[in-house]
Amino acid sequence: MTTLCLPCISVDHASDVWNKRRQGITVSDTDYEVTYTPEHSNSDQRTYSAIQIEQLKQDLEETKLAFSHSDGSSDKKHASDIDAAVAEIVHSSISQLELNSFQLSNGGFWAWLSNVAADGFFWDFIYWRFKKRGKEQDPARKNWGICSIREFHEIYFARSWLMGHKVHEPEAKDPYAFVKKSGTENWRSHILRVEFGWDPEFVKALVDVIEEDDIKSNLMRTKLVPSLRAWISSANFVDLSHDESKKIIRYLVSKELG
Amino acid sequence: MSNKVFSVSRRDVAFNIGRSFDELVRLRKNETGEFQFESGVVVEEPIGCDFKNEYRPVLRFNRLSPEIFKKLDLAPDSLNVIVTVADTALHLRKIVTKFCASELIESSTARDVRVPLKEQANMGFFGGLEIGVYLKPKHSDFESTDKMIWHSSQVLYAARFEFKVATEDAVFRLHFVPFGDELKNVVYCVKWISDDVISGVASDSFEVHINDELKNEFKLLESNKTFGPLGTRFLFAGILREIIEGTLKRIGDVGDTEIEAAGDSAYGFVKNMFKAAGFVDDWSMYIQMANETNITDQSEVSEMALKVAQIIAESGSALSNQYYPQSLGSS
Repeated sequence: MTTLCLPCISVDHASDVWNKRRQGITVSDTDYEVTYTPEHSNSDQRTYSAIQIEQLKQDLEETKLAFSHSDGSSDKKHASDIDAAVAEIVHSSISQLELNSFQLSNGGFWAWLSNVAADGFFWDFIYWRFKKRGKEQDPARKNWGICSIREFHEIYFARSWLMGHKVHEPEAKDPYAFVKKSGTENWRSHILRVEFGWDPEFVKALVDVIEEDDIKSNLMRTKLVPSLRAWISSANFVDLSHDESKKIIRYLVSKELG
Repeated sequence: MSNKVFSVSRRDVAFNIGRSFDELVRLRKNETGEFQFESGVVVEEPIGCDFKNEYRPVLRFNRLSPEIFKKLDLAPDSLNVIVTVADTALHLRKIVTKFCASELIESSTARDVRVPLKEQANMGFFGGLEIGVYLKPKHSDFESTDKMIWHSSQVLYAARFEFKVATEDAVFRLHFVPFGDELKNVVYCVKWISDDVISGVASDSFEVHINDELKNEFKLLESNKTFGPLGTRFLFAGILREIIEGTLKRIGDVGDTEIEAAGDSAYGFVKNMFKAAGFVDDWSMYIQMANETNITDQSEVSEMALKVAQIIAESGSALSNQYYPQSLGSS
């Protein structure tokens, strides 16, 4: 199986393209330089191209339509539904291609997809997703891949793929069931950014407990997460089963709530 | 008659019996070479390094003295040694192998464990990797929560070996942004994206924008050996002062002096700046002051923000990196 070459751009070029799109200036291919991972060295090597992203684009377009207000802005009440749908769309689309984790960990690809690909369709999608209705402020640029390698999980489409990559269960009735649990804020702040989010089985247990015990975001932020952070200063969950993970999470919750 | 000289190398000689957990394990980064690494950073490579194909790490577990366990009143057969590998960009970790700690006492030789990076299909190691060795209880006992060690997630001993990617570890990035005609003479501004400076990461709270029109001037300034360092220091001091004041103001708005903030939040970042500037004892006082009245009315707090910013800026880095050094924000 030949690995598909993925286009990548630098953060500086992503930033230049971002500025142009924000000002409504047409972006031309002289505004950025594309490199490939792996290096595109001969004509037999295929590259990720418009054909492969067309279906991805169509699926995202449907999501956009399903969760838009009448003025076209995104419905923030359904932010979790949007992000879960996008995670499934992006992960399933990418999984069908001959790509490896090394290529997909390259933020340059996600910066290309977010800023350059499909004549700015993905740029518009991210802007639509995060722009607050009636507010002037632009969303954070790290969502488009204008960030350091440490912030890989902050890039919107990269983290959508990563959510699926962490907890996707191909044999399950719903392979993306865990992606749809617990809501986008928990995924973003309390799973993708923290060390206890490194262990997939623990992540599945955590989203299960949040759903099953109906743990509200305030309790999550002020009690459970600080408690988990304190606990992992001298512990980790890497070898815990799903049930063992749930048990320790529930113990910490009960301890916090007295 | 020729003299034959035999050299015998045994791994089970006395000095390989560990007397403390610190002697439990060593690492070598490839199939050959010395087991020289005890923990910490093993290697630092440029971005794009293919760690998966470049390295074949091997861990050597020394035999352990039973005395170590006796002193701790722990039975070695109640503990597991767990070896993990983690992809530091994807934030994914998995077990490579685990075995009972008693095997290290009973074994007549040291034990080598290969960490097969190539076999980790769902990891790419583009951002580096971490190999972990943990000594943990095999079982949990929820009836003994008063004991120091009672749960199988608890770590009795840990060694972590890091294969790093050399990056400019940054707390914030400088974004070159068009300011438009109205603000064409403004050099920079701190754009507050959110008033939450506590629970999110710093980059959720603010972005530092530099006037795109001045991009070339910035490049010239930083390459100017005479004025570059001074000019950038002034700029950094101003930016940092705005971040400190803006963060303190927003903490004040929350009105909670007992805040438990995430270390990578704007709050954590500013707290670390105070610490780095040597004002660690003053921090809680300023948080208290920030909570009492509107921070913008407090000249004393502004003065402190200025002092901290100046001290930090003096140790700042070049603008070309477009970053401020991570060391200030990650303690």
